[in-house]
Amino acid sequence: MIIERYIVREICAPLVVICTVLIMIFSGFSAVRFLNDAVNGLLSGGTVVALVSLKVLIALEVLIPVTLYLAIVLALSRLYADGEITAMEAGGLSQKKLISAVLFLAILLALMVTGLSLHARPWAYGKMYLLETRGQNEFDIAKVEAGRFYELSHNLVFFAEKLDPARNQARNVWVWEFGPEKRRVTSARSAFQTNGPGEGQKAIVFQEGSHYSLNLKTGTDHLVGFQENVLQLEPPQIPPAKYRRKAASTEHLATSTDPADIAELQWRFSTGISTVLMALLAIPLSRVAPRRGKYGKVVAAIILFFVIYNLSLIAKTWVEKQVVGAVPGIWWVTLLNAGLVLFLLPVQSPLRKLRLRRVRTSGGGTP
Amino acid sequence: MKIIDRYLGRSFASCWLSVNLILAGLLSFFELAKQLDDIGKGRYDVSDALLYVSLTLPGRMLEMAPPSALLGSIIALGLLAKNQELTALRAGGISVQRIGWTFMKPAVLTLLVLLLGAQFIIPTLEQTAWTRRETALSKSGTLLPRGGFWTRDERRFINLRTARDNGVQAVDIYEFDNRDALTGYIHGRETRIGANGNWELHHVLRKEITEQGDSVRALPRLVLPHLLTPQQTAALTLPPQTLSISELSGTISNLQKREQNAGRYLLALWQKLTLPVITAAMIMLSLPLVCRPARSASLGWHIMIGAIFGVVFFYLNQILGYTGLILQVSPFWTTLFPALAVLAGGAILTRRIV
Repeated sequence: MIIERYIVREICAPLVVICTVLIMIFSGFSAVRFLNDAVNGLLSGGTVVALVSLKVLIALEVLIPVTLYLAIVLALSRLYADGEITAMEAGGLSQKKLISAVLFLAILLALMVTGLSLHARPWAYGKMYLLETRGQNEFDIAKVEAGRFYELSHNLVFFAEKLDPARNQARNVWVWEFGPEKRRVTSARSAFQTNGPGEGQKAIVFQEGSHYSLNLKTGTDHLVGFQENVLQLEPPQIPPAKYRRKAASTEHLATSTDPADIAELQWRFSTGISTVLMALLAIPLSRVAPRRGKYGKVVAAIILFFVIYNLSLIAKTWVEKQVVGAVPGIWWVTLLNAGLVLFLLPVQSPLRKLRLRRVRTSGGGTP
Repeated sequence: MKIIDRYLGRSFASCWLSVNLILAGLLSFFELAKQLDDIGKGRYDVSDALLYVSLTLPGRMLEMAPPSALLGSIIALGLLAKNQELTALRAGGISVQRIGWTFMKPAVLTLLVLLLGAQFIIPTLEQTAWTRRETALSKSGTLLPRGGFWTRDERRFINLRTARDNGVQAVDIYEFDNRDALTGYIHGRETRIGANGNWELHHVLRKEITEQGDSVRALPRLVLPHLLTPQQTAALTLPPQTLSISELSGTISNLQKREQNAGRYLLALWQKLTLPVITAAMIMLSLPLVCRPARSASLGWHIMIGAIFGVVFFYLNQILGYTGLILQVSPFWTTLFPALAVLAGGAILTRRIV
């Protein structure tokens, strides 16, 4: 019992460090991506922070397994290299005990990952979609960059030569509106944005300028000079009940027969199982001879992890696109993974026997 | 000394590579997840998504080079410290600064290679990836993204619009006089951009607008000389991060000539150029954090604190760059200056280690 606790503790120390660092790097990376949008005037600072937190929450279902896997490889490699495992084995530690120690930790984290996948993931996606649509509502012409073209909607483009943040105004402004067979252009000395009259309604108020209406077919063109002109902006259409699969509740997915829904459901259930399988796979990968290069297999282990995880992503897409039916679904990757674990793990299993026989016939030394 | 240099250099390089592999691999996984969501749009399929992710992998490794240099250096030093090798080296008369320098050499060398990559190889890969993706996503197979693009040329505003279904590029040109009154409008239903920058419009509608009224003429063909070459057009439609150093500086001067905002391109240029400095700063930062009197406190904690500190700094620096864009601060102050400050700070702290 003491030895198992020791092994778990040895794994937990790098686990905490790696998890913290990975979360920080991932949130920094996402923040930079979202800030690109913030610079485009599409998102405010507060929205960026909220979006990054949600992204991290969603990513945890992969960050936790990869952390656990790396922590086991690193911790056990060190124990093997320092001869500690040899000493433990001499003291009667069986492979089964080593595995059960790892399994204990893995199942604990797998339950957490499953909980995240089943409940936190749809919730976070739902929130994220909401923030993204709301983000588009936060656009303010006085908070953009001067000298850039902004597509306010698919038929409205805005350009300002200068900005006057003190007075919340844009100077030397052009706005183009595209209609069927029509182009409307407004050029003005200055412009500012107002909210109202109704909820979510916005308008641009132009001062000192002219408005042109150009016909692409025959018809006549119009020219109006004005002191003040108001352009009512269409409120961005928020799709009220648009079905977003990733945000759908697990209960809803369970009753659906749509292949894409089935793929999403299988993915949510598979993350926890993968966590355990990858943790078990880490045990044979961390076996190194004492006093040899300690972290020799780390690179290979990293590559193996991403190959398996990318494969399951592709498997999910195949189910979505009906290349693979719902019955093998994405589970063939899980089976493949389980087969690999049984093949490599030093316990009695039919696959293991096969491997040992091959090693013996080829005259290999170490089991 | 040569043997020690080689030993230290190798241990640093292998740690750096492993960390970089983990980070780039993880980000590639998330990128693949994102790309696979687009499958089924246009002609985009699994192989396209895989190709996109692999073509952009070197770019991600370059992006992750500074944080992995920090973590790699901390881990390599931590291992040396743990096995008392650091103590042995210092007892042998090798200072911590000297060890830092030994780490710096392979790092600077690798970064020079990466910068050459950032100029010659990575942009080609990323642009190929990006163009292939956009072409596969659009049904017709044309290069320009949705809506085309806008640019200005003194008193002219030019808007190229690509129809997604058939790929025909229509152009709208608005001509203004010095008092911002519209004097002319040209609409071409089809556009061909020549190698010398001449644009050839077909099925043209040309309007001349005066205060007395306007005249309309329909022309079968109209050539507008010296507008934008295909390369300049492509550079304006690609995301700034995918451009090479020389393409960036070309685009910046092109935009400034047209009185357009070059801020994002300027920031991308500075971020690429300061990459070696910031990597050196990251390594410098790791020295005072790990090389402490042995057994004074648990090494693991120092490694963790160092890693967190470095990563926070690295991303604050990036975030600062974008905030600077909004507040209109020159990218020099938001990219190079903080990196130099940390480099100097790290150097001073390292000098204090005896």
